[in-house]
Amino acid sequence: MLSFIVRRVLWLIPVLLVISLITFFLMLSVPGNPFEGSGEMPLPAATVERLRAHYGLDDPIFTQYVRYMRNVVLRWDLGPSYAGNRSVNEMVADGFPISATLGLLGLLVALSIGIPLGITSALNQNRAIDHFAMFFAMAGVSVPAMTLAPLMIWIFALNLGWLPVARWGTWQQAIMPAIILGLGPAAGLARLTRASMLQVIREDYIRTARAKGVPERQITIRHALKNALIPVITVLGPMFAGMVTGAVVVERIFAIPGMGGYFVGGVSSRDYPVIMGMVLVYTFFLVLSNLAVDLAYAWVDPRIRLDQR
Amino acid sequence: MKHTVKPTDSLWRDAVRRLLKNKLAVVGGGVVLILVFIAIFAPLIAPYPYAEADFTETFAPPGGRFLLGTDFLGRDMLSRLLYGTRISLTVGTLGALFAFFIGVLYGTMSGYFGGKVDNAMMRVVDVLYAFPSLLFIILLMVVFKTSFGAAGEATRGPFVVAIANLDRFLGGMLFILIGISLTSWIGIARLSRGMALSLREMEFIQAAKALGAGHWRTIVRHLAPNLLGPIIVNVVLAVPSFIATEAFLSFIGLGVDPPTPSWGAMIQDGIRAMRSHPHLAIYPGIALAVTMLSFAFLGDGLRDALDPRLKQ
Repeated sequence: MLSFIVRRVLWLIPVLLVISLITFFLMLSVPGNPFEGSGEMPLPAATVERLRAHYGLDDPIFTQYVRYMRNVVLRWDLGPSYAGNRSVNEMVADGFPISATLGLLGLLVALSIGIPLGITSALNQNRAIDHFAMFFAMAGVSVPAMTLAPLMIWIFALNLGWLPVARWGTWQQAIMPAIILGLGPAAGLARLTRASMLQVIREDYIRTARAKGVPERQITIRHALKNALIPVITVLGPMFAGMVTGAVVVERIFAIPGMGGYFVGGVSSRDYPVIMGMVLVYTFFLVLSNLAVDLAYAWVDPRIRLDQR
Repeated sequence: MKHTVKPTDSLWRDAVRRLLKNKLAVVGGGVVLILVFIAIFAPLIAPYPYAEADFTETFAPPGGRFLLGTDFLGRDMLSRLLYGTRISLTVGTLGALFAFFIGVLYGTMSGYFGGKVDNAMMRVVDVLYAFPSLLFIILLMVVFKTSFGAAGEATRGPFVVAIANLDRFLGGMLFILIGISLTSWIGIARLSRGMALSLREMEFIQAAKALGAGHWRTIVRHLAPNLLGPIIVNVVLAVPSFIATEAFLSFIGLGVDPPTPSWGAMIQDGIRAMRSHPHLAIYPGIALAVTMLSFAFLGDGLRDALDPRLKQ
């Protein structure tokens, strides 16, 4: 197990390096520079030159990359933003806790709807409740946050007045964003849990347990569910990655001041350090959650670590 | 000796029969056909040109001269929704096509050759796979939009100008397609590789080799056709995700160029007037969801039809 963990953690280093390299070179290969502005009020040439020199944009790209990465690795410093006087670190410090809270709430919604739904479906295979649940699951996977958010705001905020329209801070304001973010993953989880559960309840050891006279309830929970949830763990990583997309949309629609807003803002104003910093933080986090999922998987199912190349 | 393809014929006919028995899949397929029809004949069906703004009729309510009302520039919502089908369907299907060809070729080659080739090819895929594809597409779009955008007009060569013009002609769709194609093949490649790895040990591949078939012929004629079923299913099931990606990019302002109508961009416009005119964000959202759902139903039906064993 230890060598498995070490191997997995070491693999992160080249992945993060390559990703940061791709990001950096892609951005700096773009002609022009971020201080040219959109043409409305061009800065004087001398000012642009001074700014470029100040941020070290005239050095060779590779020098810039090494300098940037040294700051990131040694000092956890993601650099200054070109727009305004805030550092990327401050932006992350502001936005990350909010995005992470939203993400965790979404995950909670996904797990608490998806898994019970999948189990109920599997235990009532081919009955009406199963068909209904699976229809919901299929719809849930395909209805994007972009559709759901305006609809829910219209129904629950504008018509019924139960929930606030937007913004962030109170628990009422978190309800709609969390549900919208969690519903898609919930649907995916429901389908997977059902499939996995159906496979497990046909196993010999379930029949054995039943033959021994173990109560049905205990069979479902202790014998079937425990094993059925193992493959479900594997999708949690990609699922979390998918929620990042949803989060950007949800944050924008509900005017939630998370990382998504900073990222989109940085993209539209070509603020290299902001784009770079956000990509690094997002990627680092996603890779880390994938790692956690892999380790959890190897921990619950010993066959996995032995199988590794 | 004559080659016959009869036996494969019945497999596909069988699949079609099973597909037609699946009500949801038929409905999904039907809606997809209607959408294709709308996309092709949008100029004939739409009551107004999509970019025609009537500043005396901004935010007109649904009904009357404008069946679904008008947006903040007084443009007819219905016409824009109908035209929006074009972007979504083109990006969805072409994205799937690219993903299919690149993915299958890359994956089968990697799996077929195995060993060092496989190792090298799969490391590339592993890194790209770890890169959140959406972030990658966003970066690519930033690079494309600025490299080929209005800035630095004078310094560009004829090739760059030609591409920029083509993209402008397509309303900004070219780069969305390139961005999606560059990332979408990865999942398909992993899938094809896994299947090729297990198939290459099968007797019929050994037989083809023994009969003197070259690498290329073995891959194209013997290996690829046997991967087809599951991969087609996965490609169709991926169409909604490409449609969603386009909508997302246009939503955050990296997709189509205005005034080209894209549902994602329309939702973004609608959100700004959410309190007073919620329907402006809701209509394009519904169009988007209906399109994605139809492809999902169709893909699900295809999976059950092509591989009945999977159905539980």
